[in-house]
Amino acid sequence: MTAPVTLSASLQADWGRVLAVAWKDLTAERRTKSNFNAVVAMAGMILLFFGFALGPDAEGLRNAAAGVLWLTILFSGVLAFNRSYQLELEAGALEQLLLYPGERWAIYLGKLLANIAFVFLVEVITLPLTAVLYHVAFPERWLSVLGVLVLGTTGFVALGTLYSAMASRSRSREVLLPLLLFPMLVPVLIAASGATASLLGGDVMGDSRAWIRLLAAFDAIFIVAATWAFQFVIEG
Amino acid sequence: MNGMAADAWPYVVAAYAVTWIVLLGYSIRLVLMTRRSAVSSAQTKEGR
Amino acid sequence: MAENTLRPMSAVAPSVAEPLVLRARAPWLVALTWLAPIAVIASQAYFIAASAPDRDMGHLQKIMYVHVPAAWNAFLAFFWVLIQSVRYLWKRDERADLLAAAGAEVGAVLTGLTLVLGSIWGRPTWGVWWTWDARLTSTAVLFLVYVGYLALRGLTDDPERRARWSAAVGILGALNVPIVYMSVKWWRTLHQMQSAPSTLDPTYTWGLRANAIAFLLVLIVFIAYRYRGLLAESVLERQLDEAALSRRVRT
Repeated sequence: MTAPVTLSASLQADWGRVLAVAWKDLTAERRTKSNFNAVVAMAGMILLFFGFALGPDAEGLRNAAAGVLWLTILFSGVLAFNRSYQLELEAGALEQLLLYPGERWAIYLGKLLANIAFVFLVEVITLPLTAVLYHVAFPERWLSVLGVLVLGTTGFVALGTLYSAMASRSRSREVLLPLLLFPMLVPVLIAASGATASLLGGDVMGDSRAWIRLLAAFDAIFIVAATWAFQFVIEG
Repeated sequence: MNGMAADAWPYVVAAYAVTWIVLLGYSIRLVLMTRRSAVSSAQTKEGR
Repeated sequence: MAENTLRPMSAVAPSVAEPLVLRARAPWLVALTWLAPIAVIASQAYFIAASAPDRDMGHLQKIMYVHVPAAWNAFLAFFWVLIQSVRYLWKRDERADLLAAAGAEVGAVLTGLTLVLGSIWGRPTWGVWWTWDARLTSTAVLFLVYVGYLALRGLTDDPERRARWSAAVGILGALNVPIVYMSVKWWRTLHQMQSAPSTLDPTYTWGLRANAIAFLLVLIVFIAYRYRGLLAESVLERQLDEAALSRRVRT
């Protein structure tokens, strides 16, 4: 930074950079929409296919709904991440992005925000589709379900954004990203589908609170860790 | 319990066999790898 | 990112790395190379013969003399990866990166062995080849994390970048181990409880310890030789690069 600034002013400047990067990514996505359409189509297909595989029995489908929803979010969302960096790799955009003054982690947080927004938009379509296809009634505690969705998505995207920065620049990125990312997401999958399942079932045992706490801890740990690790990933 | 103990041996033998196959297999891999890299390193030095 | 061939291959100068390759016949390594297999054979043979059949497990208990040491040493190897990864990011020493890579590979081999042995033990004990037990399942997840680590290394060409990236993946992976374990454990206990009775026979515990130490020697020898191979590869790559560079300068 060139001008001598106080801590809060410099934080404000970093926050501005975060928003600028997020806005840039979302604008690029809004202008083409190709990625969004493909990911939504993939999500719909996964939901249908799980339905075919699990059979038409309504009760069985309802019990599987939470797990299927989260698998759909993970499997379709993972397609979006590499795209986010592919844009940067074209025409040396990443080098230019790195030349701008300011902290490197601002780039990470910006991309994180953009990816979270993207996955949320996909979920806006996936969620009602799951409810219809898997005969899920509107849950009484819909606000908690929404909270689980936010926490689960954040944890998923926090790691996805970091790992896709590596995978997209390696050979055979299509294979590498899921291979790196999914083992790390086991706690997210278990906790998010556990919480969602118990909330959809009325949460009689009060299971959901433990899962939500686990998700929150996962998010906190990995947002900090990924923000820290990003500087080493992006270095050169 | 005694019945279980009697037919335990095939599993014990299998476990130790697997262990030794893995240990020896990885050792062989290491030996081959070391030899290969030694050969190619010698070749580069000659080439220069 | 365009690959720039004019960039130095790594942070370590050849003059530092070269003697290390040559000094691989270090006396301690030669000694350990002989000692490790002897220790493994001796401790296995002794405790197979010495241990009486367990009250609950019968002769199956003997599988524990390989299963538990493999598991302990696999975890040790991944702890080693964590330490070397941190050391790499701190010191930027290429050797730390190669030590981490060697540890990850040997650790993955031991984790795979642990899983197969757990399965062989589980079949007569529980009647199934696989159970969604917390320890077994989180070991499987750990195995996948390090398969990913090794895949990343295999698919990244630039040595310096590969080192940075895999260090980050190694640290985050280690960070995830307790979280995975906790989540799988809760997931189990919310459904059903499965407790294993602990055996406190002193022969048994000593058998585990002796075999674990024998396996530890094997682990050290494996990591040392794998490291040596990686170092040789790295030096070779640098030589090839220099050769190509000098040819380019001459023409």
